[in-house]
Amino acid sequence: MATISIKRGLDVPLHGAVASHEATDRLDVGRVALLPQEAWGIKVRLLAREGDAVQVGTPLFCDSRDESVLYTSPAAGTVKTVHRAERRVVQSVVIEARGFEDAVPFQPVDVRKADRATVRAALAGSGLWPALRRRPYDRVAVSTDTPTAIIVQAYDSAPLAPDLRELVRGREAEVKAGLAVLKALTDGPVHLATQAGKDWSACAEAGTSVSAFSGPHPAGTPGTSIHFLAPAGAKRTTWYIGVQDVADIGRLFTSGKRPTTRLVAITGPEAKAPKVVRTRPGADIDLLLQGESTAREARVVNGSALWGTAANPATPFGFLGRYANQLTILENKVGRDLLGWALPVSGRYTKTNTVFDKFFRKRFKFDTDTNGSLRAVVPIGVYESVMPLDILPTQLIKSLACGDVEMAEKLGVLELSEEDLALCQFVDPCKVPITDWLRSMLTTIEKEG
Amino acid sequence: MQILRTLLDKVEPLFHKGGKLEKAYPLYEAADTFLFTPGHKTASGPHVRDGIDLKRTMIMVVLALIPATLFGMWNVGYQYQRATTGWGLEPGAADHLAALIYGAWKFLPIYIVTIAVGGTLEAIFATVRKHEINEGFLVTSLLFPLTLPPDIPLWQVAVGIAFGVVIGKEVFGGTGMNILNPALTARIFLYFAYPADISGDKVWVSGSYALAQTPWVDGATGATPLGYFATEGANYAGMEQGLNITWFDAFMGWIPGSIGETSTLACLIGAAVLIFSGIGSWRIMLGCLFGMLGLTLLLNAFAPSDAHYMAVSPAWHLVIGSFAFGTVFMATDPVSAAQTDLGRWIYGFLIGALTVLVRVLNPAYPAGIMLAIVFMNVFAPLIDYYVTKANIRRREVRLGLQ
Repeated sequence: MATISIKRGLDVPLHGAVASHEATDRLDVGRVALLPQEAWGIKVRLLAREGDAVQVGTPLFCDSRDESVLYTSPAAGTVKTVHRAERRVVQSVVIEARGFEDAVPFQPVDVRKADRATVRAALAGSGLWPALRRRPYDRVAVSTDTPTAIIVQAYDSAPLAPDLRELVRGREAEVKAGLAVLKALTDGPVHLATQAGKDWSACAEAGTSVSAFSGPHPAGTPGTSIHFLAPAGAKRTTWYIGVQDVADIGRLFTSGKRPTTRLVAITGPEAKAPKVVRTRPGADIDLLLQGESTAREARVVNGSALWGTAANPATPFGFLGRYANQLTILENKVGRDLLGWALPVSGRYTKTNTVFDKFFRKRFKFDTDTNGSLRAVVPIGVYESVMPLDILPTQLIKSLACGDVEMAEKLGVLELSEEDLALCQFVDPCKVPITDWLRSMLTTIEKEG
Repeated sequence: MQILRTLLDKVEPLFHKGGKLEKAYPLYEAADTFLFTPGHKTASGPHVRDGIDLKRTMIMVVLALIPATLFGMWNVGYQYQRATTGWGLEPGAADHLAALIYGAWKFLPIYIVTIAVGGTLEAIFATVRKHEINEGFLVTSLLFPLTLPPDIPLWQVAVGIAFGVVIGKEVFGGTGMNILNPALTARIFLYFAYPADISGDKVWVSGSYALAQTPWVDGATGATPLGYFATEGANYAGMEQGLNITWFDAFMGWIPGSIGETSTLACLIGAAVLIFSGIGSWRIMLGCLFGMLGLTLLLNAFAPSDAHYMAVSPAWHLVIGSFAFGTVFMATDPVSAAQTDLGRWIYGFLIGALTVLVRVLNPAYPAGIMLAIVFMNVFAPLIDYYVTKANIRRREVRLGLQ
């Protein structure tokens, strides 16, 4: 097993990690939803209408550019609302859940005997395909592509992320079966990217290459795994998937049972009691976080504080996302401090040694304050200090800023996603919108081919 | 404090679009965010952010400059006391308070003129361009006076900083976009436009303009070690006799020179602050040091005689002229320096080497580091270009394109 240790990066000392990985059941969520916008730039074609009765596994919509990949209902019940934004973009498809037993049957597939087309079709129709994402562009994998490699991300180093080994404990056989399914999708290797020091041998299928990553965040992110294990570029596609989803796929393919539960950690400085809960895929956050938040005005994030989409309760996006291993609760009410730039002790954390709180405090209660105003990029070397990949962050960010497509491509923009530049944006004293620029650059490149 | 906040919030609508003072919004914004943190919420990207902003970044550089500034003011007064009472006056025996007051009397007008002229220009550009006033000028406006001789005419200060701010920075689009270090641009403009007031042996001790009123005592000389080496070669003993300057004097900085640049010790304290805080690039500073060491040792090896300028040791090069000040505060300007880690090493190394080259082998200009830094400012993008190209090639190899 190869160990890849990275030196540059940053573990943001955020308050609110889970104390134990013992899961609490929160299965009574009432409503669930799918969030099409999680898959960047999807063109939604609805397959179910408001008021339709659905089962677990009934197709709700598909991407009109890749119609064989179905996005299926996580619950049995009725389609309650389709939330739409400007230009009729679908934000979420909400299901009033009646139960989780009544499911569309799925015929188990023996991947050792079946050919690739059969496996592919079965997975694409099952509703689990969208868990597979691809680089370049960081979008849902295209069902007609054959990737050069598939990465199974079994280590999440994001601030307050749960230990993924614990989340799949007891599901080792399912992970194994899932890895076998993935193996059938590619001629290249299937990599299991793990955390150094964790024992994944019980999960590793024969033929899977296991790599361990150590070091500060982003050691355990798909971007880092892809960069070191299977670099992606314009003509090289790498797929990646989370380990919980792999277990779900394994279970589906061996027993025909569709996933109706998901483990997720409720974390963050404003979480009353950070814990791991067993809940429903797409669970309504309003109900899920009932009594969990201590914030005056909460911002709930599907994912970590560094990278994830806002999922505030009672908004169209207020549902558990497909890719999240954690929900983060942050204070969204920010104040204005007197002479904040001058105080040597301000209660805030900074990677630079310009505020001294970090020398006598281990964990910080971050809120959603930007801690500064927007300025032109002044490259004091902080981007480089958190970039473990062989990427020149200052040059890349500048090419993103001025929309220089050619240069950005040469500097490796295609292998990146927002998550990989999130740390650069976190430490930036100039507060420039790096991840927004990245997404608009990726959209431009994909559109222009 | 609540009263202040309420007051600011009350007048804010005046500066908004359609308000009476709409045009002066950058001024309101500057005052508002000077007094209170901006209180913006993250709209996209990471939901939490680091506690640093550009205000704090720049204020750290100002903090790092304070030892050099205070020492510089004292030294201006001390040199004046030497020149008027007795050249052999020991630093410990000087009237420190009087020296500090005299130095402040010389330094503050220069500083105030710099702030007034440069700050006004910054505000005008921000207003016309409709963006917020940038904090970069905080540093520029302190760096520039420290590089000047104490008796510089104030109108030259005004012209110099105006040139530096407009040509060195604003024509490129403001802080973050400039190619040259604005403070250095201003300094070099004065150096070439009005050489009589900013070079030679007479200008480095305050009071030389008023020789008639306060005649210098016997033996007093405003010559600097840099000038001495240029004319006399590596004659350390001669310098100790003629100028009364030892290596230790030059290191501590109680010698004639620009206001804030004489003390290597003060610059080292500044370097420690910058490196510890993570604001200044230690790669550039070390690169400069290695470049200076490398070329000096090379020149030492080829020196025709022990008394030739080429034989001056690295230890002396470190403490004379503005090497330390330039290395720590000027070369590390993040915007005009190279912007890749490897590029920063190369950039620093070449500045150090060029400084010695200009000092020793160039007959026209005794002061090397200012020109070396501006020269390398121009070449920094070229260094980055090659570093970037190497990175691009590695990526192509990884992806199997080459």
